[in-house]
Amino acid sequence: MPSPRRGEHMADDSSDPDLDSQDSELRQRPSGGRAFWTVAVALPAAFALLRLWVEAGGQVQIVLLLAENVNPTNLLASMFITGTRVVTMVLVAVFALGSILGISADNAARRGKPLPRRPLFARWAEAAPLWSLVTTFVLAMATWPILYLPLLLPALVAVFQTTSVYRDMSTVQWLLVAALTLASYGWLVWPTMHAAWRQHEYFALLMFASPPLLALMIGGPVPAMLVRPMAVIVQPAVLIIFVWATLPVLSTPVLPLTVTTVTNADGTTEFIRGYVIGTDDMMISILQEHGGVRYLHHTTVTARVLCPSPEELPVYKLRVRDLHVEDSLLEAMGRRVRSAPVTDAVCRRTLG
Amino acid sequence: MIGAAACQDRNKRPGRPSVEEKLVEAGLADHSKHPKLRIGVYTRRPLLGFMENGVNRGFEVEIARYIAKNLGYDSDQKIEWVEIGTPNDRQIFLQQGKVDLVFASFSHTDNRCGKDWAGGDVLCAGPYLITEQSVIIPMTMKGKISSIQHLKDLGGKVCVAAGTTSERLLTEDRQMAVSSLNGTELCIDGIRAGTYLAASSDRTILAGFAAKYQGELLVLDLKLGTADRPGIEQLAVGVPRSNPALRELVDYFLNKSFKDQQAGKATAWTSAFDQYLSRWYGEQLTQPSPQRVPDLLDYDAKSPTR
Repeated sequence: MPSPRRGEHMADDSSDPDLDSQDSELRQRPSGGRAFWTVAVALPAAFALLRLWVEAGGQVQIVLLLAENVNPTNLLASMFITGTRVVTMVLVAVFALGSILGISADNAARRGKPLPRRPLFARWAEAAPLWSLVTTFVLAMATWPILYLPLLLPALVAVFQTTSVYRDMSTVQWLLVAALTLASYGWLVWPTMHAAWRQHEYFALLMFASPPLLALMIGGPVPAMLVRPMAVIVQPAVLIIFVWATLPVLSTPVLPLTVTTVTNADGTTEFIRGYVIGTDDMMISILQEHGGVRYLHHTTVTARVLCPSPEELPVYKLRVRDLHVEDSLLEAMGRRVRSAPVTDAVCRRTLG
Repeated sequence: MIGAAACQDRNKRPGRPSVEEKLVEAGLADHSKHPKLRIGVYTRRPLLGFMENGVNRGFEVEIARYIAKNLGYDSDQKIEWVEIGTPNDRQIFLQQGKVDLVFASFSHTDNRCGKDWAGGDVLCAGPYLITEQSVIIPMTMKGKISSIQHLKDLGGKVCVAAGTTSERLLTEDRQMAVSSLNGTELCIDGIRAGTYLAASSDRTILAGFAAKYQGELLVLDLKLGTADRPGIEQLAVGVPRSNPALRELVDYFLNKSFKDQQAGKATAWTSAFDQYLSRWYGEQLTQPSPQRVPDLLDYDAKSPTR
């Protein structure tokens, strides 16, 4: 149900001494919002460098070689491609929990049990302009695996319950929108839920079935007595999840995986599986998949193929209207534009 | 929930084997241990498997090359072509471990391949071609022999290879008098010598002889099969019993080609059929659906299905 407007309570309670002290504290400290945006910009750059370190297998000389050859723009682009998912996941979690905590903190203050200081996530969510919220949700919708897209429903309700459009809705309008959304959602994912049930994929079933129900209940403040424990537990938890989810991104390759066919001087053929770091007039340098760098003379290279990595193999056999649940909407759209190329058999071989 | 999703994402493993895992299981992933794929083929069977300038050619050879390429053996340097001299060699070579695969008109029977292709004396993948029994006549008899009744009227002038489906069809189902010889090649020699006026066998074999003796022989578009005995031959890929993973891989890649054909894409199968069989076979065939397609995980698992 539409919740009371937080800004209105703030105005009504402007004479509240607790809130006055909170405002003065906010004025003395750098704003949480500013810190957040500093982190949001600086983190990807730092991350890109950390990824190079992992990519090099921890070898200093290889890190230097990579730093010399990998174009920073390409590095940031690959970072964006592989990291958007995690970054938007954290932003959505922060904005959703921040909005709930903000509304709940206001509610607690009205009931005479104000928090000693406004929760960090609430300040971050309030500092974020509307366009950044919309951008975050659009990016999340485009880049999250379809399996996790339903989670955006409760997050969307949590975040946008602070907007005037949501607050101005009458109960009838709210019920109408909820009914229409649920009916469309049911039509869209019912066959997938049925398939998940038949395949005993209960986690996937939960992912499709529970978020819309959660979305119906998530609006409004949490009980005053739960606000403080929630702020204490949930905020660090999100940051821990962020670190946990970041680890795979750190180890995701920056360069495309290839198999290069080399004909040696004695006529033998060799297949080198790895990442092409750089090339000049004479040599090609390849970072091998199992570690180490190989320099090859151009004339010895007879073929090179682009290979998928085993991490790209899907886990589920579930689709939503023929879109695989482990694809993002962007990936699924791409597959419709260009169908999968035939995997070269050389990519499948166990290579030295 | 996001936390649960993150944990699930990192820990869940696919519930079905991947093509790579099957290659390892079949012993074909490491080429230092299995440098060449040994494939049994005919070398003297026109259109299906024959030698031309020292190179193996033919419809079955091309299908074998397609499978070998997908298994990682992408050139003739990585394939050891093993000559199948007589039909009996096919099963013996598989059982003795002399070949990894056989592409030599190995038709499905319950004894050979097991009921429902579940495995018999050997394992069978496919079918890669479904063919039927037909009749070949000298070109001089064109228009004079064109029906079952005409064949009946010929009496003993119709020749078949002893022990074949054609012999059973003509003698038991069609109640015809035929001359049974020790191989279709002898019947063809007999027709060319004027001893016989017609011969019956598997249509692909007859098409091969029509191609070999261009202008001399004609394959009739005549269905010999009956409701009780349709005379259909399902040509299968022979695989040793000891290597079920290889059988699954062959079926998987045959099915891939079948699905590509269904989607209207050009495939190695259609190209091989057009190159070797279509001119002589008498009708345009399509690749049949394999019987036991395994559920393997591959890199195109997320591709659109329609």
